[in-house]
Amino acid sequence: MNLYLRFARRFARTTPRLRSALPSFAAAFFVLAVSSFFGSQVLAPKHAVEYRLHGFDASYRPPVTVPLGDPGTNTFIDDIRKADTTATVGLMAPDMPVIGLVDDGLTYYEAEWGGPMGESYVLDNGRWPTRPGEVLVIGNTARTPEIGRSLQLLGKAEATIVGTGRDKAYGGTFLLAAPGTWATMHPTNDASLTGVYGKVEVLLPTLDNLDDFKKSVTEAATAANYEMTSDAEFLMTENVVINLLPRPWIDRSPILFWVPSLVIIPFAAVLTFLSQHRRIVPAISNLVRNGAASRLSLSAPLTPIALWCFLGSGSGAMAGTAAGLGIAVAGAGTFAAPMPTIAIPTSGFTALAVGMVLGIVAGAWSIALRALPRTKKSSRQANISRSNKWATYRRIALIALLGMTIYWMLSSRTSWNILQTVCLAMGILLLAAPEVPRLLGDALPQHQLSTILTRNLIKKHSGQASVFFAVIAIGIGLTAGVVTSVNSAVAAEEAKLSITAPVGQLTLDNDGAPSYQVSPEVIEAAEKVPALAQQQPVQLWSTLLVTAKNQKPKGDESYVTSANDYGVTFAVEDVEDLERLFQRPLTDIEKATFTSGGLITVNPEALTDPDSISLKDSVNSNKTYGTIPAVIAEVEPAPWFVFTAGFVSRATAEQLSLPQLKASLVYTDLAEKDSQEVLRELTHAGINPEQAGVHYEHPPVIPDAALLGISSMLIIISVSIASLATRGQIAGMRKWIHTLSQHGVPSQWISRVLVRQILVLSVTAALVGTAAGVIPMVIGSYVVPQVPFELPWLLIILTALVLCGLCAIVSWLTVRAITQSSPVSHNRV
Amino acid sequence: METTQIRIQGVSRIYTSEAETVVAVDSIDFTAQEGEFICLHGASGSGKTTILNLLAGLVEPSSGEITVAGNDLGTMSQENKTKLRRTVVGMVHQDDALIDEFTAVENVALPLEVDETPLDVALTAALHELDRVGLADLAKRFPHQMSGGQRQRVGIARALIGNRKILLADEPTGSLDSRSAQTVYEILSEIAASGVLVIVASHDPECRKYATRVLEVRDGSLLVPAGSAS
Repeated sequence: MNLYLRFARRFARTTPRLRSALPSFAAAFFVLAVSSFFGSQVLAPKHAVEYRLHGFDASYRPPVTVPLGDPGTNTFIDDIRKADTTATVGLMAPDMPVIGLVDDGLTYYEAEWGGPMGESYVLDNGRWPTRPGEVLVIGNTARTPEIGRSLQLLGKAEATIVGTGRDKAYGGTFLLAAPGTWATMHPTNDASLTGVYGKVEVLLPTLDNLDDFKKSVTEAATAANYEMTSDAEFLMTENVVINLLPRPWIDRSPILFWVPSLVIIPFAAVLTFLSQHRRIVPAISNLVRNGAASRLSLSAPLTPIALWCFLGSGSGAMAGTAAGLGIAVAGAGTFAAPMPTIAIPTSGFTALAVGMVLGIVAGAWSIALRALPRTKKSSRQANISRSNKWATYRRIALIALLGMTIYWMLSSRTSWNILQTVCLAMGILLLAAPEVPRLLGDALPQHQLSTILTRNLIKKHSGQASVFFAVIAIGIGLTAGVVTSVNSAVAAEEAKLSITAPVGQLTLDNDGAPSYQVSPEVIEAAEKVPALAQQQPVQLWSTLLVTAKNQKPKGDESYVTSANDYGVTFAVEDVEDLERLFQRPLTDIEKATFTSGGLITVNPEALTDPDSISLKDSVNSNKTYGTIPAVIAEVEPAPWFVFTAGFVSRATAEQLSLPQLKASLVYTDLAEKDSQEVLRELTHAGINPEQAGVHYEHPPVIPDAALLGISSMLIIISVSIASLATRGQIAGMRKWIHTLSQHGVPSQWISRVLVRQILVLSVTAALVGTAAGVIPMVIGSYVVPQVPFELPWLLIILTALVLCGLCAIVSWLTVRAITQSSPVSHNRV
Repeated sequence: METTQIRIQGVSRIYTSEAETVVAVDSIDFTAQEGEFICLHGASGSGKTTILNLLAGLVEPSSGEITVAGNDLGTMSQENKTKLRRTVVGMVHQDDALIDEFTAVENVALPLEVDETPLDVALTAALHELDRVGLADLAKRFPHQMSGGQRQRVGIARALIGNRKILLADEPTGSLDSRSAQTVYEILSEIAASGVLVIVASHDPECRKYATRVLEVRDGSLLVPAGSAS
């Protein structure tokens, strides 16, 4: 033991500390910064309880539905207040449409805001609402809330914005109204608004008299003639609040944290060991030659490297944790107000410890493999035999893993399973990497000396080439898999955004069903806006097989569709109408097709042949309407043709004997204020404003910050790894480079051979790695159709190009540095 | 009376591979006494290094017997052979085989330390050996702070430590300039004169000048022993 410590201390004297510690420091910093920051992005239990209960014992939501616009609401709430004078009572309504403020609904709260319920919010401008009809807007809304501006509420009620503010905890968007505002809203003649309802929320200082209180609430509800529901009661106590706290991101998406962590940390450790191998391998060899035991010869020189890895990762972990938590605290109010959960990032430290041990074992093993065989005078045959034995084991493991991956891929059920398949594919790459130099060597052309040498270098130094290939391929494979996953998630979110209407257009329809006739009340209310009244809208005619009297959507009507069952066929009057819908002149081909009895479609899938479409009854497929020429038109998306087989002229419809019933009306060339005015008029008339489709600019979908962070970091790490691996690969050829230099071979020629070798390996690795990262995602998207899939080809190709280009540049620079240094110099590149 | 340190009788070493069979050493016989400076002289690939490796117990003979300091290598375990290399037979390599992370004195003390000699005793002995090769004042330098000749002398000191009776040197001047090579030969000559059996494998003709006996090696065989040089 003494001898071991003495020798280890001697090796520690000369171990380059910065070079040994830096990779582990950087890896630990990254992992712990990510872990501590995202781990803290939930509200601390104490703050969550404060936010929900405001110092009360419980929040109670009785099983009563308060209808919209009932004058008895105020009495009902007063009765509840009387039942417990120490309680605080409020009213909440989810999904409240507020024209001129948000595109979708927001959550409406009504309470005495000077009391405890106001403590959840921060007043930024103006004042708290106190009189019925006054509101305060919390959070970011689609349109800026100006203080003093009038807002259109449901029915003919209007409210005045008296202030703006922020939600302390979750950054939500709310409309806080003064007591009595709810009762001013009167929807009268639109059944679609019956979905808007209110719930009473009571903050109770004690649960001692809960049963009596519940009885009083039931009596008050009965007196008000409100519906009691048995399943909607909700009592939120401190324990419930804590149990309902969202889990940190790392717990919710473990693979996106664990996989990169368990790649980055071990890689950093292995990199440290490999960066020392030129120094350590001869030392181990010489120790053995001088009679030291193999175990001592290995452990003594490797201990300081492991020690510096640990010190580097330890200090990196502390710095990363401090940075992660520091950002979380500094960003309190932005990410997780008022204060994030400050806790030791156990996931991060576990990943660090596991990764570091794996990395050190792998690094020490790689050094031992290089050092120990030199000490044994085993015969060449024995070496070959041992090598063959390992190759056989590896190939068996490769086949087994391949089978397991295929099975896993085909039995995937979730996106998590698909990402697991990507990780298995990385394992396949690792096991297959030793085969690559031989296969590449056989495939490379040998038309001149430099290409022959490139091939021979790859084959002769197959071990090094395999490691380089594996590092690049796994780096880019993992990156491709994760960025594809992120991109798919973004695409899925974008697909969820409802398409409204193109700019300048407004569609009146029948409860969102464009194939049905618009009710006269809706047209009457909308055409109170002069811009609509002054124009003749485009009338869409649908081919529904129902009578005009029965024009309410039922879902079981038949209609004329394409032979492959793709949506309703519409008719419009003439070319001019179609040009107004498309907002552009028709091309000559489109015009000719349309006027000569053909169909224009915006959905290529609707066509039964590349240039024609067969029409049939959607229910009775025996009833057909013939085949007509068709052409595909490029048009901006709009709701009235999302699932439309296409458009024909009314004359064509008549010629084909298609049924024709009035459907949506489309107004064109409108200003945004006209559209907003229509929504206001519809609401005034007690009609659900969603009967009008107007243009909204949707904010871009921003992927989860964690996903984005991991993807960006993986790209950066892959590129960094490629750079370091290239440097190591070339530095390992130092002796070979000097030998050629000593024989008078020009450095440009040497560079050309080595850069070509690096390019051959890196391009192959980039191609194979990308395939390994993407193929499981592609197959997974077929196996699990509900899992979104959108391949970011451009990003992947760019990353691969940058990576290969960087490899070439780094290899050229490293060769130049070596050829310019003295062959006997001790300076290391 | 001189003691016989090495006896080789009918030793051959044959390497076989799938492609060919190579006779590296072909039925050699010789004895060596303490105080001799033997030069194994021959071209590259003639079998000199294999003979040294056979004597050090690093390579098993295909046939024949080798006795080193009275020990029959054929009957010794690997462990005992390793111990023999630490206590009786010292080796000097062309590449000096120094550990860059150890100072000169630590490199020289290494065999004793591995043998669990107390550190102060090992370092004192190492200093003595360094003094013997004229490098006591460079004891605390690291190998990369020394010239090639100095490094080789440290290697010789390390091969001698522990009062070893036999010193085997494989091309010890192979990477040295002529002046450094001359110094190394002079030191080896002095060591032999002190009673240590020194066997140097070299293709350098200069070696012959310092040797008390020259054994010509060609194609794995010893030619008729030449007379000793002055």
